[in-house]
Amino acid sequence: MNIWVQQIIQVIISGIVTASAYAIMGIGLSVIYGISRVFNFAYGSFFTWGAYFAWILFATFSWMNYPLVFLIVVPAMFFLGMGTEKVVVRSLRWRKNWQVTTMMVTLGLAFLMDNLALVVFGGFAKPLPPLFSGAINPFGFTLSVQDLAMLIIAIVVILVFSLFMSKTRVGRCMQAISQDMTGAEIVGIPIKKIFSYTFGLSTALVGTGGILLAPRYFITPHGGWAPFFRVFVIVAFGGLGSIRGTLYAAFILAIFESFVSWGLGATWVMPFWFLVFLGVLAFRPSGLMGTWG
Amino acid sequence: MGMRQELIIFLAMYLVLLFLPVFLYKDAYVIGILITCMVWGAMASVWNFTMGYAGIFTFGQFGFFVVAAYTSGMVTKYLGISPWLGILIGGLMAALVGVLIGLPCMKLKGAYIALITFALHLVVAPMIKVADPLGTGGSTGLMSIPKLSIGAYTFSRTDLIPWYYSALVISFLVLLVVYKTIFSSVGLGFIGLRDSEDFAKTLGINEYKYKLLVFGLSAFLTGIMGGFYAHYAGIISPRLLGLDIFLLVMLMMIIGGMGIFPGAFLGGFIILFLNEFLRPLEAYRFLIFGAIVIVAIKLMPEGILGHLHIFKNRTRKRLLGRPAEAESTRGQNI
Amino acid sequence: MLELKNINTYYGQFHAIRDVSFKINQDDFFLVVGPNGHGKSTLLKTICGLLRTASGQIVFNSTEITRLATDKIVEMGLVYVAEERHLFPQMTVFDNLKLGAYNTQARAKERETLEYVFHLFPRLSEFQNRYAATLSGGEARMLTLGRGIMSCAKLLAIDEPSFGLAPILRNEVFDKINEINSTGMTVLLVEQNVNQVVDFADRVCLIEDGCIVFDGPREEALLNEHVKNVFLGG
Repeated sequence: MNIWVQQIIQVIISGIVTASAYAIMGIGLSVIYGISRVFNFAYGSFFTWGAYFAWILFATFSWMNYPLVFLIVVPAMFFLGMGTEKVVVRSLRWRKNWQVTTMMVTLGLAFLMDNLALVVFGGFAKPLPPLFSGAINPFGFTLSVQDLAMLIIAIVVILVFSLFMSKTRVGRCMQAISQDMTGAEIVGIPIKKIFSYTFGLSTALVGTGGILLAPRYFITPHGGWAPFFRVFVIVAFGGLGSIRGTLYAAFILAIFESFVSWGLGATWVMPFWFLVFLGVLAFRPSGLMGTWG
Repeated sequence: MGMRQELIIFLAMYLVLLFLPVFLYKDAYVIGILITCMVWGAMASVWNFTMGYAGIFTFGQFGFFVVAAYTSGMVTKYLGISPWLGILIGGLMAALVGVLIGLPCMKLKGAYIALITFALHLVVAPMIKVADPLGTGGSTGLMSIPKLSIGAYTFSRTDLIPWYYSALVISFLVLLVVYKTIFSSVGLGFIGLRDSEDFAKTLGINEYKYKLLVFGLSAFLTGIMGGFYAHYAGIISPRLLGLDIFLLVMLMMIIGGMGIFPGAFLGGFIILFLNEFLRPLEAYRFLIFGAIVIVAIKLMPEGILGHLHIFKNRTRKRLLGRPAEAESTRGQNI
Repeated sequence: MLELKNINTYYGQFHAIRDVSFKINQDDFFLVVGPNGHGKSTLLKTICGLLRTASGQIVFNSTEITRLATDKIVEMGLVYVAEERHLFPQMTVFDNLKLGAYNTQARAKERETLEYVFHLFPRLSEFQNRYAATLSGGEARMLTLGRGIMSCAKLLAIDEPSFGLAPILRNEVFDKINEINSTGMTVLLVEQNVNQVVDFADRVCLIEDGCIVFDGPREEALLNEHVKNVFLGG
């Protein structure tokens, strides 16, 4: 096969792998906005803490393995999210302009969480062991087993999520709330409880993303902002609140990012994301408004 | 009728600031902090006015500050324009950017403006770095910005007193404009709008136009402080757009929302002195500030619009004549 | 069954419901009438927990529900059918109806109730797989009412179900509501198009400016001059 085509496909594969992690995190951000209309500026901090929890487990128990880590950390992140919602966000909802107030409160929370991490773990980047080692070579391309695992895990998560939303009672309640909140109240859905679950769901998702991406990048206290911005742009691009849009956007933009990195170098990656964002603002602000799909 | 309480507090604060150097002139460190207090306090006050009184939820004020700072810095450094004029140009540039952004934004609902302006805030820093070839100085920053001068006397970096009084005068003027706007027909028009859009619209008050006007004005005023800061600091960099400063000024604004008009300005002093006090704690410093933000917001019954409530009742009768119907009292979605 | 004592509700500063008190008995068909914007909808929303009262008490089946959240009120059997409908646009008619039976009692009887609803509104059965967003005004109103019935409510509070409907459809809607009422569901109906429905009512209540101006049995209402003026005018 032509060397160029081979390289290009390699780049695309790399993009797809990253996209899978971003997709999970994007769903979390989209869901929490779509259902409870909350914009969580501490989202990146939950990402970081998810990774740190995983690190603590690995550092403390030498027999630790990834399946166990997921089993422990993901529910922990879920409950952390529910707790945060109850303590920090819930009482704000009945105020005027609660959305902007929530943004400010979660910004404060982000600083609290990031600096807590700095105090507890120190500023040195922490590594996570790779999920798997080695690589496979399907059709002559190189795909590390790690990346393949990440892709598979992400796909599984997305499938489970969509089954959850369409088949379970709670999932259908969430959909109902996202389509008409008053209608959901009228029908007797316990709104407050569902908001709580939604927040927990979003932190669980972003925590999962944190664990998946951590072996690639080192974990640092303020390291959540870059992923947060990427996910923010993805969700804006795809439509705030639209799961399908988020998925499309995640894959499209991650593949583009992969090309940018390959062709222009890593320093152009962040400017790329900013340009995309400017583009969204300029040409498709409805991406930010949210569409339902 | 006597002066409003806001005016009294405002003037009293400046009276104190006027005479403070008499006691503190030997302590350059404190004078320096006071100058930054005035700069950021004024900025927080303008922000507070824009958010709390005019109801425009913007997180883009730092963008204006920095745009004006860079504009003033660059025109004075490269084109030799007088710094005072530079500050004005900086302010106007910020106002222009404000109006350009405001044109599409002011039509949107509150939280979307917040999201978009916050995202814009995040975008300015990389844009400055990318514009390095144009002379912005990239990530290292714009250096050797000309100092202010009055007549033959050029301010120096060692004697801060002239800087102090310049900051005093400029921030006073900025806040005076804010004060006048709040209590003018424009300001009252806003209160009418905040209460009942439909009714106020029947009176012929054009919400969009007002919001755009206020947004541009707030950009201008913030820009003035930014322009001044550029010359005072001599060096500016994209660090000014860091979220840490953002958090501090946001806190000042939140404090301002707990009280009446000059509250945010006072908040500037409180927060920056607290910042100095906590400096030895390093990482704990922002941990504490993050916690303070959360606590402060939760403690405020009406959020940053708290003072609007007091204000609302006094002016409602004057403007509207009768109570109007507003939205439901329960939480609303967008 | 339902009792309101001195209810006051505000929209911001606007005093929308002023000192309203009345009683509804089991099996009643209680009709609330009055000019537009005078508080009828606000009253229903207050009863069902979507709005909070500033003062007063609401008692439903001997339990005070004044400060209760809507989901708990629904669980107790008091369900609101909104004038604005509030259907779930991206869900099918079937799913909308299913969600109507969210509360625990209704869930147990879901299948039977669904059959009943389809019997009342055969057309709903025909397009049960259509998305709610694609329904016409009349069809949507049917669905809203159907969804309310799915809740197996003890008291159904219905807000202007005939709004925007052609007269024939209006009659149909009122007929169905009367039918539900005769099977034992207490009905609290807010309406403007009074003439077609007043014959079904047991009691009539007239609200003007947020206050109750008349409250009595249907026969008295029909003889009352003031009420009759409102009927003719509304």
